Amino acid sequence: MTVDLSSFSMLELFRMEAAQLTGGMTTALIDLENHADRPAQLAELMRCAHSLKGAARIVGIDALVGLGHAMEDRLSAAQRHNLLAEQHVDALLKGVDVFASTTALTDAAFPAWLEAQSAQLAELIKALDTDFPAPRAAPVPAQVPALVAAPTSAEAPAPADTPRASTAQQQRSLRLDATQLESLLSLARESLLVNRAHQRQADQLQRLHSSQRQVSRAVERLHEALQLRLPAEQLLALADSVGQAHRRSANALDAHIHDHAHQTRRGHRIASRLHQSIHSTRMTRFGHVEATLKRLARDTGQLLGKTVTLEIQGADTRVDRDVLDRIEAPLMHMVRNAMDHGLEHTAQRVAAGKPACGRLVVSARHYRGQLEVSVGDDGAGVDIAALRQRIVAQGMATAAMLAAMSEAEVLDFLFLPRFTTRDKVSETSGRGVGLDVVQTCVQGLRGRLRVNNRPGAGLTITLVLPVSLSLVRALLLQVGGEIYGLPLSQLERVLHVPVSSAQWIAGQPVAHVNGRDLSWAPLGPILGVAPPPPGPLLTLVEIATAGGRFALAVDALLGERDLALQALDARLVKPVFVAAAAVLDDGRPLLMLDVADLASVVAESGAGASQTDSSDYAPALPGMPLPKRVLVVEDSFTVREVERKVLSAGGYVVDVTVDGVEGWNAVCTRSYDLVVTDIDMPRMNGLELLRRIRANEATRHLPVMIVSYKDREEDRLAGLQAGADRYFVKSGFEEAALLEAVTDLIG
Amino acid sequence: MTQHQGIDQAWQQEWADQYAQPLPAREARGQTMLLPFMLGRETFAVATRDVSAATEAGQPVALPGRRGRVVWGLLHVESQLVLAADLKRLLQPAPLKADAEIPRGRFARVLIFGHGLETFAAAVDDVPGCFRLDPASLSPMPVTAPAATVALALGQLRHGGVQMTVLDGARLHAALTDDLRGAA
Repeated sequence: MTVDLSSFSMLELFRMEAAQLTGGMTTALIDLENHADRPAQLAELMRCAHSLKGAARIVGIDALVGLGHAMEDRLSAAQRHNLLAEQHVDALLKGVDVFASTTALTDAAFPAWLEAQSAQLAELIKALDTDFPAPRAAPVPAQVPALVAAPTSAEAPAPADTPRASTAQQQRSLRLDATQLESLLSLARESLLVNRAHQRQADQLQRLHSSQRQVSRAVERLHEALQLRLPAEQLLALADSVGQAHRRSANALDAHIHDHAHQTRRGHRIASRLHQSIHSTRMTRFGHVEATLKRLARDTGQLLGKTVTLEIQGADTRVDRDVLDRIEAPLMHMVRNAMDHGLEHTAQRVAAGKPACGRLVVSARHYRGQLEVSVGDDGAGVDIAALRQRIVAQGMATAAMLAAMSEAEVLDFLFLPRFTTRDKVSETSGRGVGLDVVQTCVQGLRGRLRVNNRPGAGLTITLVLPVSLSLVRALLLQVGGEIYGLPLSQLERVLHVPVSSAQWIAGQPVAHVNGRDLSWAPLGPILGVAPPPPGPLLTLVEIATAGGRFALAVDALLGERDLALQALDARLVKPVFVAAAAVLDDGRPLLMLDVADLASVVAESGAGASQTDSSDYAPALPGMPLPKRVLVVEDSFTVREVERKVLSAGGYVVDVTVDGVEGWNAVCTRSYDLVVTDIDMPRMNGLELLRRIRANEATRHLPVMIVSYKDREEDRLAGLQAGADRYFVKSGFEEAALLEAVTDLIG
Repeated sequence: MTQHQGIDQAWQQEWADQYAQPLPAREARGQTMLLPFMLGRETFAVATRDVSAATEAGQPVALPGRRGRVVWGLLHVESQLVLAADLKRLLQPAPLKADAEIPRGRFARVLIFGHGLETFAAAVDDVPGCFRLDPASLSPMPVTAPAATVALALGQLRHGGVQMTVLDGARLHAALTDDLRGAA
């Protein structure tokens, strides 16, 4: 759960953010000092410095904005030149210490502290701006003299050299108001009462048991009397006593059933209310971000010399605190980006016939079971032609590649890491840090982005997100005797299609539904479970994704259920095809399937079909040889798509994954003829993936081609020494050359 | 499994090196309580400090892509989803020949190995109780034991008429973690 930030002052928020970011930065810097070539850590440090600078700007501490800017500049230079001098690491650590030391200050103490530090801050900024020639060559102990006196209060931050958990791992807390807590306590008390009532029922059952024994004894006595042929009067008397004992027992049983039903209903009601109440503590108003965004718009407007009004729509929309917490920084980036790049200056607006004051609208709403959050402006929108030129100028794609891309694909470049439309770096933009944060965040929340570009009239970016991260309405499916869940929000409909009507197009099973062809694949083989022989009707679950529609064949549907999702063990990283887990009423675990993973396997490549014993479904399937299968492991959306298109056009079946971990999962779960991998990727880089492939008996001989921007001889050697069969440099990327290299390797 | 397996020279040296190492301090001082558990026809034991719970057996769910691995699924244990491991796949105990061979009074249990966020759940066929380890009773593993088991064992001992393999909790945890990470 997250911290409820609504009751904190801006300075408190700044201090919290500084405390949160500086611990991780110190650890990362020290790691970087010992292992200089870690671009992912540099990128993460850049983001942290960027966030610190932004936070300092919001609270109006110019001296710290300057420091954050200088730190960011230095880290940016380190990214470009792939080196960081010893003096720079020292200065960066001192800079982190400065931000960390603010966490112990009271609001009142801030001005005096700033004044006392001004000379030292200037010195530090100068040190960061200075180019030192010699890179740090060997690990140096991280003994950094503190620029500022160590905080003495109990709120002092952790020492600079104390490793701290990353932000995601830090223990989280939740503030509840007294009413919510009272309500929860009340429900807990009631739950205790129900529990005691169940104890009383257990006692009643004991009495019922005694009563049953009396009935049994009376029946035995009657039986003996019958054997002894006692007189009819005595038999009747005994029969009466049996009847009375039975009636007492039956009455007690009736009362018990009534009481049990009542207590069960009561218990169920309380459990539901308790669950809803606890769940509601996770929800908050979207309007909680209003103050932050309005202040940001005002301050950024002043900085850029633009006048703007920011309007919040749907402030009362209920949002999961975790979701809101995680989209707050992306929203800030989007607002800053809209003001810097989207909104024109007053004179330009007036000349274009627009109101002098720019308008930003940040809105939230629930739509089709999902949360949609949009940031829209009435600025100039994106000039697609200029964007294409910029992409080419930054070497991110060739003009020929861009010519083949749609407008939506070109707009996707705005969300790529290090892409910027600015030549000069300013305090608000130009480093390429920003919209890629939005993309990363949305992907992390299993959501998607939508861009509505209106050239000359503005741009709206919409984040489509799950309403809650903890409770999901799901359809339960049975496949091969196992039960899985699929989020209802991602399902289009359920179909029952005669098996005899299934057709095959290019090796992919297709169902003809309502006048259109729908590709489908049996889910069992994808998940590695053996489905039973199909009956006369196929049960298909149609799924809609950004990439299109497809269907999965399942054995049976078990109905809808609200599932409380549980995070998977962090050591699993990201299991393939699994998004989360939940627990069924009977205590069995249930896996929630990852629609994006399934879509990548089924909709694009038809992998599900080719992996399947398709003859189960189509005895008449022609025995054509399957095309070669290639796995592309690449974190850059653009490069990934280009590689996919080139290889698909070359007749290969292509699967794509976005980092080494997913790549490794894919390699472990299906058979490939070739892996094409990048080197620099989050979570697991290409060299580590390659080492794992070579270390694994089953994949030892799998051909691997590295495709990387790194064109130095030592990079090439490192790749080949790790076991790559071919090293392909992206800067010399030509479609024909790539295809030729792949053909050389696997034919 | 033959009783006349040849001993590779390198293997023999490896054992000699392993058993030349002193026992961990607590085990050497006889301060360790052992928790024996049964898998098939064999009995194993681990230090009780390496086990955080023994609970009723539940029904795990298999994770796609991990079928056939030692760490292969998830198990619901007291409101937590714990990674499920198949110790039979790891330790390769002699299997029961038929249902009729299952001794009476056996109760399947799930042992939770490790603590906090680093746990693994494994189904075992029975947990008869626990006892204090007598370091003097610990002897080297027989030459016929599977190499995978030898690599995880502190040694063998006899207690209450039952011969059992004493596993090193740390090595067992490392082996499960390696399997989880996909190490070959």
